[in-house]
Amino acid sequence: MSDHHKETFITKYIFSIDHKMIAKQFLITGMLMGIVGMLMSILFRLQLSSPGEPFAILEWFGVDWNPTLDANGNVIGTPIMEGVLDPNLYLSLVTMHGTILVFWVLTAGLSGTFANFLIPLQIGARDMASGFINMLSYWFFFAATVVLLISLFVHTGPASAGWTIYPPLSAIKETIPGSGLGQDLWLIAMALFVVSSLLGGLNYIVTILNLRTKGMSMSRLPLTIWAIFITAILGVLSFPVLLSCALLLIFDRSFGTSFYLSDIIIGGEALHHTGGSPILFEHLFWFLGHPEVYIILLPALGIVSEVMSVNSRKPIFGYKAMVLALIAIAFLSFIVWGHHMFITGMDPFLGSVFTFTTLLIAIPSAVKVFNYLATLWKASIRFTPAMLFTIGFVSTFLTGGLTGLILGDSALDINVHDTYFVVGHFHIVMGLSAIYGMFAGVYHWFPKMYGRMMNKKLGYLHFWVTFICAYGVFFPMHFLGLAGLPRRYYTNSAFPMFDELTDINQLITTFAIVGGLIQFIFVFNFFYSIFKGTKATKNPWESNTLEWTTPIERMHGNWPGEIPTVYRWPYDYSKPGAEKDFIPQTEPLKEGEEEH
Amino acid sequence: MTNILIFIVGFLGIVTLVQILRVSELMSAVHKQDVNEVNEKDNIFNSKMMLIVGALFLISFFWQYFEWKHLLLPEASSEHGVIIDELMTFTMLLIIFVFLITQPLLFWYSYKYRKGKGNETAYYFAHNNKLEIIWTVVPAIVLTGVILYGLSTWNKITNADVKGATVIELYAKQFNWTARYSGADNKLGSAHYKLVSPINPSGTNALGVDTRDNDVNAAWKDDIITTPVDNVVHLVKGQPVLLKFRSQDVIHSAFLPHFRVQMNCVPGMTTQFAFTPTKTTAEMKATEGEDFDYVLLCNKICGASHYNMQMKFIVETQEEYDTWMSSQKTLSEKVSTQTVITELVTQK
Amino acid sequence: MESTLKKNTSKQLIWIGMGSIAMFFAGLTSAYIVRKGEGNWVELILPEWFWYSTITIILSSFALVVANQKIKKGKSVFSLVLIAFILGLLFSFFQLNGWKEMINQGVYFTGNVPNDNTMTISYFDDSLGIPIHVDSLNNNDRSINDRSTYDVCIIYSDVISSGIILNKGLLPDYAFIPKRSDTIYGCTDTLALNYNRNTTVDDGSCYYTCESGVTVFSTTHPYPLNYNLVWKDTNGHAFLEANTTIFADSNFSIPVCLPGCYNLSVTRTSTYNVSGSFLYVLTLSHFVHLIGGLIALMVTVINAIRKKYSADNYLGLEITSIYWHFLTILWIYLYCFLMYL
Repeated sequence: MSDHHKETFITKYIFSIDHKMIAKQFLITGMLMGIVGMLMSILFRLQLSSPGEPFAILEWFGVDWNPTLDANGNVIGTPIMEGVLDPNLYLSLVTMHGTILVFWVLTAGLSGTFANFLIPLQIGARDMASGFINMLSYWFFFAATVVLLISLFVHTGPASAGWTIYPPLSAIKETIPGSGLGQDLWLIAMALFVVSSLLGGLNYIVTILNLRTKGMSMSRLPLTIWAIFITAILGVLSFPVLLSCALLLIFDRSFGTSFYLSDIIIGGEALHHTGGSPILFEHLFWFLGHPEVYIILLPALGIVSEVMSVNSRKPIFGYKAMVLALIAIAFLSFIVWGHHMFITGMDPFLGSVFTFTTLLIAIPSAVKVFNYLATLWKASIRFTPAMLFTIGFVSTFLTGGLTGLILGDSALDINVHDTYFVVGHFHIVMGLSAIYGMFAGVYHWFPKMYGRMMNKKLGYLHFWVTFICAYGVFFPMHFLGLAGLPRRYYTNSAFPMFDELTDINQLITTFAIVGGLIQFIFVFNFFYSIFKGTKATKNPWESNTLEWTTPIERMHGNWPGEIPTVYRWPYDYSKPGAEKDFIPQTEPLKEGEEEH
Repeated sequence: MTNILIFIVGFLGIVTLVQILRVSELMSAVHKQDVNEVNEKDNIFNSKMMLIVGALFLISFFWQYFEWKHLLLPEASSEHGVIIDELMTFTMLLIIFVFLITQPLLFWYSYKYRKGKGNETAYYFAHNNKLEIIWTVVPAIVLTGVILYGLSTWNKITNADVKGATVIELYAKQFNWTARYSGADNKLGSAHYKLVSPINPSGTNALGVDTRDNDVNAAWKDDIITTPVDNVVHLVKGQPVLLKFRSQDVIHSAFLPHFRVQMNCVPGMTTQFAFTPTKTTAEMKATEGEDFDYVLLCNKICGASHYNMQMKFIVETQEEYDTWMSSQKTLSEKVSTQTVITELVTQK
Repeated sequence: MESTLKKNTSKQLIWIGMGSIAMFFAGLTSAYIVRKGEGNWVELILPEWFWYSTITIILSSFALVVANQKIKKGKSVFSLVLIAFILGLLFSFFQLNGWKEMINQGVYFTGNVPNDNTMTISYFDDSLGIPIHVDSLNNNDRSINDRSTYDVCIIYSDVISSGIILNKGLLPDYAFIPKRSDTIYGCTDTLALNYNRNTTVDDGSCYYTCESGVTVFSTTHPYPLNYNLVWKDTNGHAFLEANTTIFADSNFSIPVCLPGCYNLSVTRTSTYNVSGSFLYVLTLSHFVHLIGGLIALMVTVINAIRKKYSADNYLGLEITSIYWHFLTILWIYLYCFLMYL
């Protein structure tokens, strides 16, 4: 297998079937999309802190963008007139921010990168089971990205019905301009995205099941691989349901069916649709939507477990419990979708069932947090930037997870549903946690990816500013929510009862801008280090896992000779009786040594 | 010009950063150090930061609470709202309790167990069944309590006795609300979207109420529809209300934060929520300030003016309500009876 | 070693892929169940063709089972694979016919479905206050494509005594709509009640007197339905057309006088019920996946011709068979689901 054909530029960097290159492609696409999504959030945060006021920066963005033309083709307006965002554009930005971050950055950018990069390296395989499918997976994702980006420049604006695209708002273009061509492109992009995820997921599962090197039993898999494996199963089972859900929406939008539409009057006309049910859409959507949350979170949990263990110089506490917790979370995630729909008029009994299943998720989550704390206890922590982000992860996972107890409780949900409390909750537990996991992964495996180190000091700067600003942005949102402020409001100035909240909004926006800008430090550090970073050693973090036994120079096939054999689990750090504080997995057990 | 300036500033910024990094790398090369190797200094700095930032985080939590406490919603103004608030307080205290134990622990461990002099090696501690069972079982027990408490509250709210409740319909459309009182018979007349006027020329009202006059269809006659001029819902203190929700176009959500009421309005179906207001607007004004008003908000993204889809609610005494009610015209006084329901149109 | 690995991974890929596809259909069928549970659901009869296609696909699966057993013994499988492929094509043909049949029944993708309500048409004369002609028509027959034609005769001599001469000006102009044709037959006498300015050739159908009648329709269908009504005179020319929505237990009246014999055709223009759409989505989605199976079978046929399979190398055949069996089981599931649920 190692006698690969000579690689040309195209097969090496573009249509590559090497898992490491595909991982980098996913990472860089995800990062670029992350910047786009983050800039969007800053634009609408500006609007929220000073509603209706002009901003020079908006003017700068708004020039010549999606102009409205009169009959003669003269520009009569743009969604940003004189630096003021219009409400439709605000909703577009919110929608696209959600879509990009949830799917493009935290699903493809996170899973795509680390699943592709780590699976063959950590299980001891030359490459994925099917390099070709893997390549297809990326290029479907790339096509989805292109379509989504094109939708930003559509005359009627991109999709703006929220990332959850509830019909009828998303189905009828007269209800909001974004539900025209923009929504069509959104759906096409999403269909391509689902195909990409499915192809990727298939490959991950099969690779993990079949291509493990000798000695790499399932109980010796690093937790990253376990997390990715379970994520892939979740994806393969839940994304097709999103596809069927989107398919029916496409039919309703373009072919006149009535799956989700019923008894609607728009613009003075009664539509012919009868007998559909928008609630049906919500059921189908959240059947994917909820597992999707864990598709985002689980890889981060895996990365954090691995990085924490390495930098604590201590085995991850309760390996089996960690795996069982992952499985339990994954299983439960399929039977909790109704907690997004407590106030849709669902049968109260069903509401009770969903409350029950939802709150059960707290148990495996609690186990994970306690196990992380136990790992840190009496550790010998080495503060690499990656380690900082894993500690940040535990903090946000904890904070956000706790507020989940309120939202999962149907009775309490009545008053906080769709308020800023929810925004605060999911940004902390899902958004921040997953992105911290992603940062931790990038800082940790960058030496393996590019053979160079990322700058440590910039990493520290990046972490501390991000950590402080992110809490500064999302923690106050709980108070906004408890004050009754609904999410997706263009401005809260329409209600006197919210007037006093402006101060909080300004505080949030300030933190958002600082926290947003600091991400460019990361981007800079990333690209600078690719070319100019200091050269990395073979195993810079003194880690046990297999990827650090590969040569520094990237090669197709990963190991020059035989694939190493594995003799032990990956968490033998600071094991008593060992010479060093780490024992690579390739080291045979000494006589009389217990495995763990 | 500004654009060029921004560009130049950005470019210079990047160049500076690159130069700083180069210099620092050269410096460490001189000192024969690996610039990116985590050393003792880094560990001390970051572990101290952990302690400081962790403390700041917890202090800021209290600061935020005391600073913004007055902004939070006032006590519930409905019977079921009070039990929601009780459950909320209980759950909140529980999670704050856990938060205040685990977060300090996390930051403390991060500070205490930094690698360095005196802590060169970690303690090999891979698993401990007893501990793991404890922190599986304890959360499970606590959660059982939370679930049971939550569900009993939920059942109380959803199984509320609606007999004798005043039936009021809230009709949502982009971007306003219309209310319809069921009138003396406490029954809403049937309605259909195809009868909405002026979409249907033979429709008589904007809510699509079927106003044909016959034996089986009489409930509509005493219904009262609010007008855009006086678009306020009047409720009686202590009198249970059953709100029924319909929507004309997209999903809206009727959110009455002060009453702890929220329910989606879905086109093609009717949803409902029952509650009993317990404080009049006047009483609330006395405690919350003169500009207080009960409001109905839309809480499901519904289009450009989603943020401004509101309606005022007034809770008053029975006498005030009766006075107001007597000034209202019923639907049968307002509209002519529908004779036929047809649209005879020409074919192209 | 390498080949067993390849075999395992390929097989697993296809199994997991099928799990994914199964979830897609699970999503759709659970949507079907949820939607059906909400009521307002028209039960539809599956076309007979789908029964034929069920048998066909089972047979083709069977052929592949036999082919797999034969190849293990090293025998040629070309004919069996070809049979399976042809049966697969036949299946597609039956499916197409099934959809055609559904369209003939008035079941359309957009949700039109056949009517199963009773519709009553009566003809009233205001001055007498009694129905002159009552024709109760049961429109229960699905085979007539949701379009019913009635021949109605008003016995003119019975009512002429109470007939009122109507000024033609009282007749709404829009009541007379010619169907598009090069030559328009009708009444050209401007004094006649049924004068139509679009008429080009007088066919002697002019009439001059009319009672003030109304035509009343009623329906028992629980949901409002839209109808298109076309009246034709004895010469077969449409002279009046109306679109209407008829509500449950309500009447629809057309305040025009219609003496003489005419032919009335009633077409329900838009009865939307999502049950029909579900039928199409489920069967079409299966078909889309079947196309993939057919392509795979075709490749297998070509490989069989080129004798690529042997007793120890028949992975392609095996994988195609697995996928094809999956399609068979999926179809049986869908068929039973639609038939018996």
